[in-house]
Amino acid sequence: MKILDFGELYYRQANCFVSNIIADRSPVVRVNGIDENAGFSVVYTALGSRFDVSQVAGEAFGFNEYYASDIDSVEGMPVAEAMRYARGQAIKEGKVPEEYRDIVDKIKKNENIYGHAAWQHVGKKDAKTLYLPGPASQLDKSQVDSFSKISDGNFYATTEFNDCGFMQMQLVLEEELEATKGRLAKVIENYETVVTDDQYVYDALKCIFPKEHKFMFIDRYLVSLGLKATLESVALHESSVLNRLYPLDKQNIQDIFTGTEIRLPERSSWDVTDSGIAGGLGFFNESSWNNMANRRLQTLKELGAGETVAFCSAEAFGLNRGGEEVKTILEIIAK
Amino acid sequence: MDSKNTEILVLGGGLAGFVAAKTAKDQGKDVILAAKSGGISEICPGAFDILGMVPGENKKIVVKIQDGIKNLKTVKPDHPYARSNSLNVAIEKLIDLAKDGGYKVSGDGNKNVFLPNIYGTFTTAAYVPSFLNAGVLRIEKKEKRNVLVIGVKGHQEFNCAHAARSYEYVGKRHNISDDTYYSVDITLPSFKNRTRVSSAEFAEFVDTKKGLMELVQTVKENVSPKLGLDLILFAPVLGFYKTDEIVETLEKATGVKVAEVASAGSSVVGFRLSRALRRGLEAHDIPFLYGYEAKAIRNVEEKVEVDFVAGATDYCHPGQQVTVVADKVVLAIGGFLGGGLSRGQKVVKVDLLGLDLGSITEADVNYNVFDSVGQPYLNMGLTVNENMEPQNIGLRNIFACGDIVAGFDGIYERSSAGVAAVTAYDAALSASR
Amino acid sequence: MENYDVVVIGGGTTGTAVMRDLVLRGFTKSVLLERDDLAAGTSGGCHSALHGGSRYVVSDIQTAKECLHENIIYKKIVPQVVDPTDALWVARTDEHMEYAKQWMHNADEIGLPYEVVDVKETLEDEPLLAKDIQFAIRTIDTGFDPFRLCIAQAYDAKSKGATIKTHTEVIGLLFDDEDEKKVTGVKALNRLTNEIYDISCKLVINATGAWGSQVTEMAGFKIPVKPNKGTMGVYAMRPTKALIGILRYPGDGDGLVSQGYQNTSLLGTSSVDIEDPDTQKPGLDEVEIMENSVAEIIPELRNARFIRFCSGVRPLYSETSETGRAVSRRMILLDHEQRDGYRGLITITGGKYATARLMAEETVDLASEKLVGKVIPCTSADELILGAITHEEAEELAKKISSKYHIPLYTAHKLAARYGSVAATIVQDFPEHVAVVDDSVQIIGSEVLYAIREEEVGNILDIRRRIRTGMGQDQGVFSTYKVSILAKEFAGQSVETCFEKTIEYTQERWKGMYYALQYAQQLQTATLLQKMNVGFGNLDCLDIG
Repeated sequence: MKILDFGELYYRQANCFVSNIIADRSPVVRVNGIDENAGFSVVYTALGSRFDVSQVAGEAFGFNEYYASDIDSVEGMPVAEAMRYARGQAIKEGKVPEEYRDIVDKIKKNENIYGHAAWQHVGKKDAKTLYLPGPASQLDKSQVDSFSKISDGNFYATTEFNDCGFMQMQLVLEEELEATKGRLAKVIENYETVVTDDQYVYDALKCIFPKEHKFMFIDRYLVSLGLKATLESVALHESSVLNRLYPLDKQNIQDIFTGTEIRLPERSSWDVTDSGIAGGLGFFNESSWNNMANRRLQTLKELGAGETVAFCSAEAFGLNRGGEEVKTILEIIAK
Repeated sequence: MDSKNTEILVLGGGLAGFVAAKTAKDQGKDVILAAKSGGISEICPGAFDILGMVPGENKKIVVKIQDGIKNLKTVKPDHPYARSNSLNVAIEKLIDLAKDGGYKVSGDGNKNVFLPNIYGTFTTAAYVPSFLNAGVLRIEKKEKRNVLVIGVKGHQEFNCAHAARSYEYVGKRHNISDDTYYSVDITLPSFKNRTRVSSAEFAEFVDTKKGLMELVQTVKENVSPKLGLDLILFAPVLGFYKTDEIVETLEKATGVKVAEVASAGSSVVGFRLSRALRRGLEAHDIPFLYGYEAKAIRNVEEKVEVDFVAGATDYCHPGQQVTVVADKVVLAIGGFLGGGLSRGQKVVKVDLLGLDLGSITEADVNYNVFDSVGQPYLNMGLTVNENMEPQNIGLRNIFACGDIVAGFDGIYERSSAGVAAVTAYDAALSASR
Repeated sequence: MENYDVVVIGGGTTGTAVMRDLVLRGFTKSVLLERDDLAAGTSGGCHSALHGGSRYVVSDIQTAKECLHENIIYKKIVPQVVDPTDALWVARTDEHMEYAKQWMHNADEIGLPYEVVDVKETLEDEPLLAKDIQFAIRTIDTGFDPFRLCIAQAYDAKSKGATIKTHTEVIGLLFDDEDEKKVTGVKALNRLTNEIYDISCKLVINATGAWGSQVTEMAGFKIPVKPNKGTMGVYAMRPTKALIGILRYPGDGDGLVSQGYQNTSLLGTSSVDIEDPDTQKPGLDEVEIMENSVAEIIPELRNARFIRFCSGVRPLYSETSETGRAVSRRMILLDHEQRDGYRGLITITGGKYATARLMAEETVDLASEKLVGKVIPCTSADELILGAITHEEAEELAKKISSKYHIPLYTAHKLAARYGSVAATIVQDFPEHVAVVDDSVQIIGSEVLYAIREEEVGNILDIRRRIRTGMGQDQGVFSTYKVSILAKEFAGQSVETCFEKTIEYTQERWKGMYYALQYAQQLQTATLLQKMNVGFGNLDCLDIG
C-alpha cells in the first residue's frame, strides 16, 4: 500500500516560505522548546537538500501530530507527511535514533507498542458490530466491558490488529502495512459496523479502506444508538483527528452529553491540538511525554469541571500516564 | 457527498471574509463562512491600518487619514476608497466582531498612530489592539517618557538593546518622541540554559499559571524604581489567550504601564486576532467551516454551487467532499499572500475561477525594492463593478472583496485592513440585496 | 608607499588561488586587491558546479582532463565547500544514447571514474526523474559553494601571511620612470574611504577574468577577452539529490546543480556574448528555454518554485572570431613581456572554476621564475586548506557541538560540514549567539560574528557571501533584520548604518526576485518581503507628515 508520493510532497513543500512559523503550530515545539528540537523548520531545510534527511531523524520521530500546521499555515503544507517521509528515510538508511529502535521493530511486527493486553478477544464472532479498541485501551479490559454494556453484548472485539497499521503508516512501512491491510480486510468484511474509540485507529482504517463506509468513531456510534448522559459539567479534550482530518464526521457533543455544561480548554474546536503524545511516538521520549501531558492536563483541570473527558482512548492514556483523571466518553456513557 | 444550503456563502478566513459574513448576517441573511485557513491574518500584526501613504507622494506617512484619502482619490480615481462611503461603518463591523471574540481594539480612525515594533522602527496604524495601546506614539503629542524595553534571552525575533537605541533615533527623526529608552534581556527560571526561545513557546508558557508567576517575578526584579519608568515595552510574546490579563498583572506588579512591541510574521500575535474573529462569529451563530478549501465554483440556474475539500490533505488523506449551494457567494479569497492569486508559468492566476490575469511585465515591478509608487503588480486582481461583482469571469451572483480585488496596493498604501473591511462590507450588502 | 613583491588584482577564485599558491611558495609579501568583495564577480555568479570533467568529456577533452584532476584535488584539500553528493547523467533518447557511448569511450580514455547505474534503482532514489529514462551514469561532479571556496583560499593565504584588501580598486598602473614598458606598481582606490594611494611591487598578476582587458588597457593594449553571460534560475529546493545532467552535447539547460550543502538548486546556464561585463542581467527567455529543456528529464519541474534569477559572466578568451559556446573554456596565461613587450605584468584568464588551482599553479610557476629566476615547487595540491576535515570527522564534530551548545543536530551538521574544524572555533568564540538566525539556511548567530571578526566584511552583502544569509527560501524576509542587528551590535555601529545596510541588502535580494517575478514566480515571498519591510516596518520611509 502506497503511503506517500514524493513528487506530490516535494512540489508542495517547495512552496513553503515560513518553516519556523509552521513549527510554532506544533504543540511539541511549543512545549518542549525550539533550541534542540526545532521540529519542522529543520526537517524542511533537510527535505530541501534531500541527501541528509536522516540528520533530522530525531525531530521526525519526536513529532507526529502536525495537522494544526497543515491548515493554519498560509501555504497549507502537509507537515505530517513530511515527517513521515523523514522517518521513512531514517529507517531505510538505518539511522533511527536510539530511543526509537525497539519501537520501530515492534511496529514492523504490528505488536502493541504500549504493552501487552490482558485479553485477546471478547464477544461473538458473528455479531453485527466489530469493536477495535485502541491499542492503549487494550491494556486493561474495562474498556471492553464498557463497550459490552453499551452494545448489549452484540459485538465482537479483538486486540489482534493493535493500532490497525497507524504506526506502520507513520513509519512508511509499506510492505508491513500491506500485510496488515490484508488481514484486516478479511475480518472487516464480516461486520456491518466497525467501531473504534481510538482516533488513530479510525484514521488508519479510513486511509487503508478509503471507500469503506462502515467505520464509526465512538462518538458517532453513541449518537447512532441514542445513548446519552447528563452530567453537571464536563471538561472536554477533543479529537484533533476529527477536527482536522475528518470534520464532517464530527458529532455534536451536546447530543451525547445532553443538558451538560461542556467546558472546553482555550485550545479547542478549530484551535484544537492534540497533546501530541498519543500519536504514539511521543511516548518514547519520557521527558517530552511528561511535559506535554502535564501542560494539557493542567489546562483541563483548571476548567474545574466535574469530569475530565477525552474522545480518544489513546489520548486519555497519554494524559493519564497511569493515573485515572481523564475518562473516555465510552467509560462515562457506559456508567 | 455532503451538501449544505445557505443564502450567502462567504469564502475566505481573512479580515474581508469575516466582515462580509458579519455584514450579511446583520442584513438578516443565512450565512456560512468557509475558509481553507486564516490566510495572512494568521501572521499579521493585529492592528488595523486605513491609509499610511499615497503612492507617488514623497514617501511621507499620512498624518490625517481623511486628507490622505482625498489625495489618494485624485491619484487613483478607481481605488476602492474612491468608490465607497462605507469605510467607517465597515471598520466598525470588524472591530465589533473582534470585540465579541474577546479582542479589544481602539482608535478613532482620524489620525495615524505609531507603534514601536520588532525592527526598532514604528508601524503605522489607525486602530490598535489593547496589548499595543500603551506603546502608541502620536504625531500631535510628543512624548517624553522613560521607557524600559524588555526582551527575552534567546528570542531571536526581537533584540531589545537594538530596539531601545533605535526607538530613540527614529522617534527623534520622526519628531514624535523625546523618550528615553532603557533595555534589558530577561530569562525566566524555566528557560535557563536555553539558547533559543521561540515566540510561540514563550507565549504558551506565560499563558499558564506557573509561567505568569515566573514572568511577574522576573520582570519585578528588573524594574528599578530609580529609573522612574513611565512605560514598559515587552517582546511580542505575552501569551496566546491571556494577553490582556498578563499585561494587567504586569502593570499591577510594577506600577508601570505595559505594552507589547508590534510584531508581524509571528504565529503568536496573528493567532490572537484570527482566533478572536472566529469566536466572534460563533457568538453571532454564523457557521464557520474551517479547513474547507473551495475547489470549484459554478452557476446552477440562479444559484451558485461550490465544491469543497474539507480537512487537511496529504497523500493518505484526500480530504472530505462537501458542496455548498448558495444564492450568492462572496469571494474573500485573498491576493498573493492569502492564496487567491497564484503563480503559473509566466501568468498570474485565480485558481478557483480558472482565470488567467495575464503576465507581470517590467512595468509592473519596480527595480527599487522600496519605490515611491509602490509595486504596481500588487494592484492586480479581479476588476469589480459598482456592486462588487467581478467582471468577465463568466459567473453570476458572485461578489468579491479584500485582496483579490484589483486597484489598490494595500502594502505600500498601508491600507490592507481598511480596504478589506470596506470592500467586504459593500460586497456583502450587494449580495444581501 | 606600500611595497609588496606581488600585487594580485582580482578577488575571484583565480586571484585567491594565485594568492594561496604564492604564499605556499614563500612569497608572503603579496597583496590581493579586489574592487568589490571576494567572489563578487564571476566566481560568485558561477553556477555552483565543481566540474569533474564529465560535461566536457566529449566536447573538450583537454578541459575535461584538467577538471578531473582538479576536482579530485579540491575534494581532498577543501572538502568543506564541496557537496558530498555526486553527479547523475541520464539519457532518454536514442540521440542521448549515441552521445553516451562517445562519452564513455572518452571517459575511459582519460580515466574519468564513472559507474553505469541501474535505472530502476536510480528512479527509486530520485523519484522526480522522468520514468522513461533509459540509461544513467554516476560520476564525480558535484555542487559546491563558490563563495566559500574563494573565501577559504583567501583566508588560507591570509592565515599564512598574505594581505587581502577588498573594496580596493586598481585605477591605474605605475611604470618605471626610465622604462615606460616596465610596470612597477598600481594606483589603488579604497572604495570605502575614497582614498587613493600607490602600491609598488615587482610583479602585477592580472586575475580579473572578464574584466581583464580593462587592466591591460591601463598599460595601453587590449587582450581579446570576450565576456560571455550565463543566466541562471535558483529553485527553492533540490529536485534531485545529486547534480543532474542530460547526456548530450553541451547546450542551454543541460541540468540542475545542487548547491553545496544547500537546500536550493540551480538551473543553468545559457551562453550569450555581451559587451560590458558590468551591465549583464538575466534573460527571461533564456530561463524558459532552459526550464523546458530540463523538464525533459524532470517532468514536473515547472511546479518547483524559482526563488530568483541571476547571471554571471565568463571570461572567454579567443584570438579568433569564434563566439559563445564555440570558444574554448581553457585557461590562458599571458606573459605580457613576451606578448606585448611589457615587463612586470602577467594575465591569467579563461578556464573553469574547477581549474583555478591549476591556473594558479602555472601562473605562480611563471611568477616564480620572474621573481627569483627559478620555479619553486608547487604544494597547493597537497596542503590542506584551513578547516579541512573528513566528512566523518565533521559528523563527530557536529554531534559534539549539538549536545554542548544545545542546537539542533541538523544545524550543527551543516555548520561542521561547511566550515570543517573552524566550526569548533566559531561556536567556542561566540557561545552566546549559537541560536539559529536564518531558518531556511540554518545559519547561527555565531557565524555572523565570526565572519565579521575574521573575514573582513563591509556590509550584509559581504556577510552573505561568507555564510549565505538570506539565500534560502524566504530570501531573508525573516532573517535580514536579525543579521543586520547582530552585526550592528557587534561592530558598535549606529542605528542609521544598520538600517542602511538592511535596506541595501534587501535591495540586493529584490534584484533577483525582480526577474523571477516577471516569470510569475516567487510572488508570495516577494509580497511578503514588501509586507514586512514596507507595510509593517516602514523601512522605506523614515519621515512623517
